[in-house]
Amino acid sequence: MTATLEIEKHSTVGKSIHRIDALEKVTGHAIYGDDIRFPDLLYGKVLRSPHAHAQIRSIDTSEAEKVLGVKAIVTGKDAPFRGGEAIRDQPFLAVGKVRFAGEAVAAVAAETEEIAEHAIELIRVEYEQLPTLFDAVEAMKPGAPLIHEELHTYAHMPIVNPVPNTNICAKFEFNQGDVEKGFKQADYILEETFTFPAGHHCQIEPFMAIAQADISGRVTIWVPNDAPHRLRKDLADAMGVPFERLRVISPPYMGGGFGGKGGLKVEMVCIALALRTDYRPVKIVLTREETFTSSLTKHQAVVTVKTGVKKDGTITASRSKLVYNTGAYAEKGPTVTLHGCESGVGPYKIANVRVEGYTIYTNRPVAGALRGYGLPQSSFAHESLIDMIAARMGWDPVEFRLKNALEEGSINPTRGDALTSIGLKECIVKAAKTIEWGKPRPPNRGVGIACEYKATKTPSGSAAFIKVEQDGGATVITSAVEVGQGIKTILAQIASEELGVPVERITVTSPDTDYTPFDASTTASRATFHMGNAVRLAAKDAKEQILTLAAPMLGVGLGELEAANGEVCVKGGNKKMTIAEVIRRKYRAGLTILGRGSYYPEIQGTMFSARSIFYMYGAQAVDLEVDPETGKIRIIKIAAAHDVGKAINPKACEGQIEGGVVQGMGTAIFEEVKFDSNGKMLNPNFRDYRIPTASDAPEIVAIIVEATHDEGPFGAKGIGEMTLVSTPTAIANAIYNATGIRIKELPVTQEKLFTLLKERNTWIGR
Amino acid sequence: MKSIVKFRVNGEQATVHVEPTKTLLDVLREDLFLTGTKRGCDSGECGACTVILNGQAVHSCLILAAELSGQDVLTVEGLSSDPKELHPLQKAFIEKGAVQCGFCTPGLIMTAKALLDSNPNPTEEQVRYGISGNLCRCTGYSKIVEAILTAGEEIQRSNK
Amino acid sequence: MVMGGLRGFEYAEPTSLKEAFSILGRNEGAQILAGGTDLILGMRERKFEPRVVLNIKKIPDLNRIQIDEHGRLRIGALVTINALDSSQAIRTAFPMLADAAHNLGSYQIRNRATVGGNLCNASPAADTAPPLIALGAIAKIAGPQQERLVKLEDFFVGPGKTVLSKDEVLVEVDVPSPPKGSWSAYLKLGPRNAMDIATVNAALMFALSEQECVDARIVLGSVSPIPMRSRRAEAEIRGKPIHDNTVGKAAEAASEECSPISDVRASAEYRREMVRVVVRRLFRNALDSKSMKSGGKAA
Repeated sequence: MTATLEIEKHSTVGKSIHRIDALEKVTGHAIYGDDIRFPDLLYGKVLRSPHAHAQIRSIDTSEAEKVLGVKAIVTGKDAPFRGGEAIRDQPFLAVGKVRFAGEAVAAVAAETEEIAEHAIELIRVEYEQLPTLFDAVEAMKPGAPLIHEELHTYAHMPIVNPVPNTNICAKFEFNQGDVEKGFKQADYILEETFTFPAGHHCQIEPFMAIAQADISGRVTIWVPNDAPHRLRKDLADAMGVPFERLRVISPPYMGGGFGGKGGLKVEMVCIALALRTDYRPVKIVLTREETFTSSLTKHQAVVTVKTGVKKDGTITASRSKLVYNTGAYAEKGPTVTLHGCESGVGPYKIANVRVEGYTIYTNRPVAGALRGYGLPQSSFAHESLIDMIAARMGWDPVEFRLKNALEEGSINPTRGDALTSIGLKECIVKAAKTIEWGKPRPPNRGVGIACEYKATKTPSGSAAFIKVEQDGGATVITSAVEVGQGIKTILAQIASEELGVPVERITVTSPDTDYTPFDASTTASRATFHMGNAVRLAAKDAKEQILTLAAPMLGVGLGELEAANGEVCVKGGNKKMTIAEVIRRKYRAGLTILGRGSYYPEIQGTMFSARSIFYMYGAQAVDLEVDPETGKIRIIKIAAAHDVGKAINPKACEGQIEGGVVQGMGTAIFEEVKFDSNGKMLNPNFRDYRIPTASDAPEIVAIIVEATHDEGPFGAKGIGEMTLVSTPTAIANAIYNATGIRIKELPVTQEKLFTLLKERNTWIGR
Repeated sequence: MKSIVKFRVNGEQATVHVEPTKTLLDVLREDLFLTGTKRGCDSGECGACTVILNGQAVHSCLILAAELSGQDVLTVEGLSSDPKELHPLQKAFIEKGAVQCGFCTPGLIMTAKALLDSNPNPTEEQVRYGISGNLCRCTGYSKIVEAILTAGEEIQRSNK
Repeated sequence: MVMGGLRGFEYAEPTSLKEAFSILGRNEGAQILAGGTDLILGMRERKFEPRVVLNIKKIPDLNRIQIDEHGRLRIGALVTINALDSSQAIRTAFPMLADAAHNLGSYQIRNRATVGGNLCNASPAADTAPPLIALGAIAKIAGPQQERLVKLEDFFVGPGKTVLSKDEVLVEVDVPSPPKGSWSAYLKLGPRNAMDIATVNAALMFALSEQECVDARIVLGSVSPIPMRSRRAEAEIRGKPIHDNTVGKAAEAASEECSPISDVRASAEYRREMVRVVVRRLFRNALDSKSMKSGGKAA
């Protein structure tokens, strides 16, 4: 249900309380993975393939073995496991052949980093190079060299359907209505192809892990990973061991994830080493260069979109083909592609839709889950085409979108489900108004808008406990990961509000798969909704137990009691007791109250197969100026309006919007991973892979829209994943408005825009 | 060949015994257990390792430990660890919501401190330019800039 | 590149030039450490693999900024970029040098990087080279046998290479006082507003006599193996009045004379086009005192 906002008086939900982790972070006391140390720690270094595609003829580690201080050396055969959530295609270290430049071939654990590095350089590998394949469209063609000859033998998720003897890891199709009939109804049809670059998430904290095997056959791994339980399962599946043999512990904090620090990355080689060091722990910290080449990139994609419209502005049909270059291993490529198909069409009422998506292997570095999860690529194409149609037909881009925008009860163009809780129009209107849409602007200055809707991961489950102590404090026991988004604070606020304990008395744990119950992942903007619900249910459970104890103590019925501010009180009355008193009185010798909550949406289907439990909506408008002589783009202002359901902590939501917008801006005008003709990355550093600095970031107006969701905790939905999706398209649309140049390929660097302007001027004969 | 280097960290004498290949960043994190200063790139490009050396903001990953004899280093731990008496920058970062993952935060606070020490009344543009050597991927910088300007005002007020 | 840890060197801290010469002379593969912002990074990237690293910051008298009564500037090799950027005297008398300093790297880099280091690292994109060359600076080089003076425009030999022999040390840069009534500007073009290695950077200095341009120096960076004076551009504008037409011709000549390469940052064609734009803007900025406040940012 939207728009019927209950006027509730909340004690903490809806307030921008200070983040509970901020104090540790501003004083340098916050602990991240690399800050963890053990007295007997060994250091690991990885030898990586310089070739993008090659048979490994031999590996000679004999010289490395002689180095004093080396405790273990591993190659692929020492850890014969293959992992991957979508499809189990990735060996812990390369076996038989290497598939991308930067793939792990051997690793050394030694007493110091210097010794490990020295030993690595003594390992001799003989390669026989194979033909390389970097272009996904080429890689799809019959007869292309195979990246994975054994594709047909890999275990995979039900929704992933690899095509044997090809480089097609997965393909997806969404069909609603009859797209050919839809085109026949159209008065005007436009088709275009767009390209989105491979990018990198650039978390400031590099990738790392510490792993230790123990004598009972368990392996413990300390790693900043956004889904500890999923990691445990992925490792268990890969290694063929039961879950209890693995323990995943999250360091208290992660220095940025954006989806990249999920699944199997450094964990694999770290565990391979840990199994051979006589039970000593091994730490691997990737260099920034390795973080660029060998962790995760964002999918490069080629998207062709064809859309038909009637003269009155109705969109009648949309057909698109999405080709996602997933690199050497699938990682989450298949579900990323799926997601791009599912939500990329745009938040519009379109009766006839057909989307085909392909996840293609190439010899590029691994591409996978990164913020936006496939939507940025697809949205760029679809939303650019919307603007192109508007321009061709003489329609205002804002009006055209509003005319077709999804509303309460509209049918989801790709999945056909009826949609609810839609704040889209409000987002479009507010973003446009804030940017002063329609105000005349001087030459070379323009505005653009783009909008989106985004699904979360459904079905997926979260569970939590709440432990209330005798002195009235409480702990939220959760596997949600604090990746920087503020989830610990949000969960504390939700727990506090529901339980009736002041938020200052609430502690939130970090994940440890031995203690904290299952959570699917801290991804897909699902944590506030799913874990928030689990926490709310746990809090409710604990509260009911406390109220049940208090009722006889206060001499009233259970239904007459409520809890707030650390106290149990009679509704509308004077009698009250502190929660601490209630517990102490009942359990004089001591006990805790344990509340539990589980949330798993009532939706049929395996992971990712179902309609989403909620959708997020957003619109962003950009005001920019182009320097026609250099092609340099100056982003002046971005108005970003996002429907979050209910902002549990408005300032935290603003932070997610502002951060996403600047990431989107980077993708639009600066960021691109570049390769030489052999597949080696040319810019694996912050010098030449440029992310926006404080001098580049524009004025950002973050607008929170609240179309509450009945099933979300206090009406909340989610935010983080969508805030970088519309930005590149809004920028591209603004460039069109300013210059008449249509951008079909990102990033639109100053050189690229200069070249396009020059071509246009030459053609016009200026 | 290791050498003994004596210098001051956060107002206290520090003595370390290090190889010439060690940097100030290595020594802070590994020998002195001051892990507040972070390693982001080891290249002087991200700013996460920023500390204040003899009053100036520097990348500690580019300074050899051996160079430090007799010098004065201030890290984020030296600003304040008393929650009741935080430095105005620390307070402002908390209040303005300028902290998300927090990995860039110590480096940023040190750069900001050095900036405000030398220019107590900066414009927004000067702040943005001054912190351009500190990359942040989470916040988009808006609240960080706000926090620094607010802290600057507070420092000025309390100096009057 | 496969980046790795620092390794394989001894550290030396000479307290006099004499000691420095001796260490440099005795050791094959010794390198001077000033600010460290190029050297330490270069060592991690395996661009440099010195056996001995000499920290020369303990050698006295190398980090002074002095302007004498004739307006002649002497900059010690160890003067930091930030010292240049924050010196009122330099901002007043040599504004384009202050602009170049202001646009180099980050605040943290500027606090450590030195003029000597920037010049001796000899990147074609070095920020301080174009303005210093335009100012007619002279490099003062000290060696075990003798001291010699080399015009800065002759100091660079190739990317990363200077005229210094292995036991010589750049100790000072001497900058003549700019001619009376001269105009100057520095511009740096990069994709971002901070932190970039220049796509194109350039410096301009000229004087006007009876409305005609005299003594023009147009120095380009990032578009040839070494920072270069565009003599053809200078010839185009010399003796002519400054207006769109004449400036345009000078810009054209500069664009033709340079020899940019294509690399991960930009293509040769784009750089060549941008030289034209930058030279035109240099003239505009030099004459427009309001534009001088742009602080050296080309776009």
